[in-house]
Amino acid sequence: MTLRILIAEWPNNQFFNLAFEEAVYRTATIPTVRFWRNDKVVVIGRLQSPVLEVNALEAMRNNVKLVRRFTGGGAVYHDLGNINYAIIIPRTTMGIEEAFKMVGEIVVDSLKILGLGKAYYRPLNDIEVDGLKISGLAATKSADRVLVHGAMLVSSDIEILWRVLKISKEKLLDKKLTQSRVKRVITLREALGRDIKPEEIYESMIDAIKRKLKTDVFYDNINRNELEQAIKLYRDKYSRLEWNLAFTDELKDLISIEEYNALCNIGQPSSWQNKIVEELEASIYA
Amino acid sequence: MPSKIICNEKKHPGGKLVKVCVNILDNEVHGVVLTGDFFAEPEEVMEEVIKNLLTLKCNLRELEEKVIEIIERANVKIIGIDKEDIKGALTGILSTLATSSSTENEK
Repeated sequence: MTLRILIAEWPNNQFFNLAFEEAVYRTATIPTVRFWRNDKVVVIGRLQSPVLEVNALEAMRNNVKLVRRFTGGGAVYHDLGNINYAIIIPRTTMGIEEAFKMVGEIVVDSLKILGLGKAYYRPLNDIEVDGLKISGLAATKSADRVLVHGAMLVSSDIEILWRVLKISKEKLLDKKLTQSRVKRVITLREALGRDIKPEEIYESMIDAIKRKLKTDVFYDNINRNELEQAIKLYRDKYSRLEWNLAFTDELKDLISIEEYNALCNIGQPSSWQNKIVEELEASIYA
Repeated sequence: MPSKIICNEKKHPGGKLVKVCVNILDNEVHGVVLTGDFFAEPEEVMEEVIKNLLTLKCNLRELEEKVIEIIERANVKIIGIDKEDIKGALTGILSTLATSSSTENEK
């Protein structure tokens, strides 16, 4: 088995970043790992309602966008101080829980390589250090393939994170951390006590994957097929309010008109973001 | 009487969270919004279940039974929460309603 490594990102177009993720998941013919970053955005789970998860007015004030991903799980905040990884395995019958465990252990191993011996995998989908979340996983599967992706806090703005996410009381009670909600998460920079570049994290994760899956790796570029698929998914799905704001209208009465309008504003790309995709498309056929 | 939306949530111990909102008009259910940070296999089937619940119409007594029936009819594995969590969240909504209507009666 050989593993394809892809470092492909459009931090300025969070909608396209997610469209590309789904395109790689759908088109991969061999096991693939993708690393990427996003600029400021709340990424909600496929089965969540934006009304219940996002402080839209606060998000709009801070230039934070909103995208729904194609995997379940909870809302997360991304900025450039966060890194994302995705592992796609085609031709497997592995279930979501097994895949979580596999990737959770890979992430823990990579953190150990970086010198963070205290990291551990906490089922179902968290990686923690001293009871504080440093990385979270989400996953999806179809008949012949599975994808696990995750986000890791490296040097993210934790203040904004708490302001733009609506935090559930039940969840806080369960974690017994009502008093100090800012301390529920930790960044890698804080845990290591030093600055760290994304490339160093990617390298450690690749080393951990090689060991765990006993595989060789090769660095690859994006191919035309996945790019075309991504553009189609962007136009038909990720750039649309019908997708990003699903399960919103039914709960409209719970929020103010201003908040609803803010959701509509952050839940679709700005025109300059669409332009990025148009230029990308032009480059395929140039 | 205008419709009102009542929400409740339930966290599975050590697991995920389910959030349920029920739209109530004249003491009847006019749609249920069941979302959360749980996972499902396959996800698109769960999405269909959620869409079906959005248009659920029934009376309050049948709420729990109808919701569970729609979920069980679909061939989907829900990961991170279970039926008891969903029932628990619905029971909470019904007792909120009972309390608020008795307060209204007192007025």
